[in-house]
Amino acid sequence: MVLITNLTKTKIMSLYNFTKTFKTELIKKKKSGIFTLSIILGALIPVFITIASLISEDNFTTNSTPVNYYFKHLKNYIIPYAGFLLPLLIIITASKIAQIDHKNRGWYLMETQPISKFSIYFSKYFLLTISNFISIITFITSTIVFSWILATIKTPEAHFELNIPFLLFIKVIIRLFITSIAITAIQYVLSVLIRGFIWPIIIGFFCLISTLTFNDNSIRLYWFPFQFIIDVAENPTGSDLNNWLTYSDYLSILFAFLFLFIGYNFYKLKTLLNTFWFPKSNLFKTLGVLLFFSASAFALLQPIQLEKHNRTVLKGLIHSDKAIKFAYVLDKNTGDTIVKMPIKNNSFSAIITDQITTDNYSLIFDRYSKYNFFFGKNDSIQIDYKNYGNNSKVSFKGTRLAEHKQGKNTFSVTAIGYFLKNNMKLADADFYMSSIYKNWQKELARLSSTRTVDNIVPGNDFLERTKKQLVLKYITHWNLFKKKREALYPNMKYTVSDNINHLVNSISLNDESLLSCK
Amino acid sequence: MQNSIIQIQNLSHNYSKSKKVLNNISLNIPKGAIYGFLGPNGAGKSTTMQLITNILPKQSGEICFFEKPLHKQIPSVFSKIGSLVESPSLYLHLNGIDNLRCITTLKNISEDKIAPVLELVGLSKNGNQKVKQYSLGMKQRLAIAMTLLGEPEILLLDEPVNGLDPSGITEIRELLVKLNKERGITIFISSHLLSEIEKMCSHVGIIDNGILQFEGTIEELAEKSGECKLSVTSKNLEAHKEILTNNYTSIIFKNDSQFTVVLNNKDAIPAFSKFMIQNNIDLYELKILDGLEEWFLSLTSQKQK
Repeated sequence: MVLITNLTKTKIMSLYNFTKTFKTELIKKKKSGIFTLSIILGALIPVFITIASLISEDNFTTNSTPVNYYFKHLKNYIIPYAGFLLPLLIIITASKIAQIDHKNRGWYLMETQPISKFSIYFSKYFLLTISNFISIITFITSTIVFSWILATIKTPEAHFELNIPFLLFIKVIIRLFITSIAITAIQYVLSVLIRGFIWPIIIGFFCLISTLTFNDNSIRLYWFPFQFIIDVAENPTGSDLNNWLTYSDYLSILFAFLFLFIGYNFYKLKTLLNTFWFPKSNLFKTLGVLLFFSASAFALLQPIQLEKHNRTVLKGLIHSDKAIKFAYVLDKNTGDTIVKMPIKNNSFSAIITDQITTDNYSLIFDRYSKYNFFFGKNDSIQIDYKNYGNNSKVSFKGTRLAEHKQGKNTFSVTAIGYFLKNNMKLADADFYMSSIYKNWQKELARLSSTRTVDNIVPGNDFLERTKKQLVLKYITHWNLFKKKREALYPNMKYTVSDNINHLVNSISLNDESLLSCK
Repeated sequence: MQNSIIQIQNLSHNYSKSKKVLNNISLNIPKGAIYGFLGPNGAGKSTTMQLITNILPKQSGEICFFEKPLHKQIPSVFSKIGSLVESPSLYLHLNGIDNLRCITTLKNISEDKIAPVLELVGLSKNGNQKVKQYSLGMKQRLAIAMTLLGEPEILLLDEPVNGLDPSGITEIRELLVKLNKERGITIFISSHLLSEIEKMCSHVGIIDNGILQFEGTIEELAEKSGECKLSVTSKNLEAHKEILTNNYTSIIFKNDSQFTVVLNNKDAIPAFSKFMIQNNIDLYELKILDGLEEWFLSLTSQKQK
């Protein structure tokens, strides 16, 4: 009992100490403009885009599927904000807050006051997280306010839903905040460690720009803290499985914990050896933390393949201004109807008991829409179909979630296709051979690295099949090139490269599964 | 020996394996003393200061404040200690009052205490001025004001008069003596200026190359320094040269009106002045040249350099 009372007392004292130190940090940061910068950067994108929208001409889309007006604006604003401005704010403020004490030898002053080094170190970090929070709240508030102003001045089109989706916005706030804490921890640790103002900024800026550049080239560093915040920007609705947080949000918490552990111990004990080696208890503590971090990060980063269902189930919801009576699933090759599903009360469902090959099938809603979708035995697919006016949209969830997300991104238009179509550079066989091979490899790399916001990857059956489709795509390019080259330059010889031979030989043209490949 | 409010036993420290910055330093700072910690630049004064304020983690030795080990009292002991390490640590973008507010918040003291300390250090009119507009002397005084908040029992001051002009040095000295006398604050002050330490300190510790060379009262230091060198201003010395050189062999004549002479100690000064008068040698000025300074320089490596 006495022990518990003492522990509670210690905790209260620590909290009290922390509050005092935080209040001091608030005094120290006066006139530094930290919170002002948070507000400015938070409001910048909504203000600018609203002004641009007011100046620009209206671009009406008639009879579109319903979209939430405010969330649509958030989606427009969040990429430049979370992808660039928020990390930039963190980089600048972390350096600025550490400089207040570096420049004025404030560390010595603070360390000779009746407060713990823990309070000194973490009150500054806490201040930085407050700065992030202010910026995020400003961003969301300005998104709502300026979208509302825009709606007042320019009446939104009829398909827009004008209610404010508060829950979605709160989710975005929480996820942006969580993913910001890892970058904040890294930048803060660097800024305390390096006395110069500019170096932490250069390092942070380099990390930010390199992440953006990698993303631009379809390379995603899923483990890299600067990537987490971009993941939120690209998936503002969050988890497809209706979880509050995604794996990158958890990773952000882990990274923040690791960097703050290293940073604080280095700050407290001043040297690397003291921090991680002497005494031996420090070594064990460090090893323990590293082990915990590695095991947790490894577990979180492991891609998930969704487990099969015990039956083959299709079910869906219809949102439409039309009376749709049936949904059909057809075999793509033969056109045979696999299943016909009557639509009652805007929903449909079917359990397929027959043997069904895992393949691409056509999904048809009366005479209105036709979609390709991938499924097979023991898959459970939830379909959400919207059809208003001339526009329709479908989304698939369930055991083939990743496959359908992947399907949207594969088979990009390549430069080599454009060159071929326009008969450009046909004299240069080496250029075609090298480009075809590089593009093939690039698409293969993207296929194996893409995952959903919940870290779900497609099943092996889908991956194998898509790889075959990619081979077919590039063999088609190669054959077309050969044909055109023969016609235009019949006397110019060339030697087929090993890479092209590798491409041609990587598939058997007797493979029956290719029948449904387009 | 009086009760030691700060006790340092066998303190050693090195930044790299090859160089020991402090080698077995032991200091005893009596309660109520003004203790001058003397040494040339690079002798180890600031390292000692950083170790006794726990800014640097201790490698070996023992540091006790109020007869208890320091590490067991960190950080609460700083509510009884005011310290100024690598002075002055001030937030230049804030005004004087905000700098003091930082300390009142951290020490949980009423902000009403700010005005009296500003008055004590003579900055009452400058409280709302940005610290970056302060002169060096004002900054030093503000830094001392910050150490005084919370009515500390001990002041640890690292080179508080560094870079100040003579009037600034005098102001700080008078302030510290006043604090010591009126409030009974024990002051541990490091400096490389012997003349300053001599004028205000009751106890002295001298360090060189990380080794403590001397520790004792200022009187003990004076005794230890031995000889007393005088500069004498007179008139028509040519006429008295013989009698002077016969009686004082150490005499060195500068010109016809000035000479220097080395006596065995300060107690020999009255006899010397009597000798001058008895021999009708006019005595215009008799000035003690700093024997202590000479001795200090010989103790530390300055002289060799």
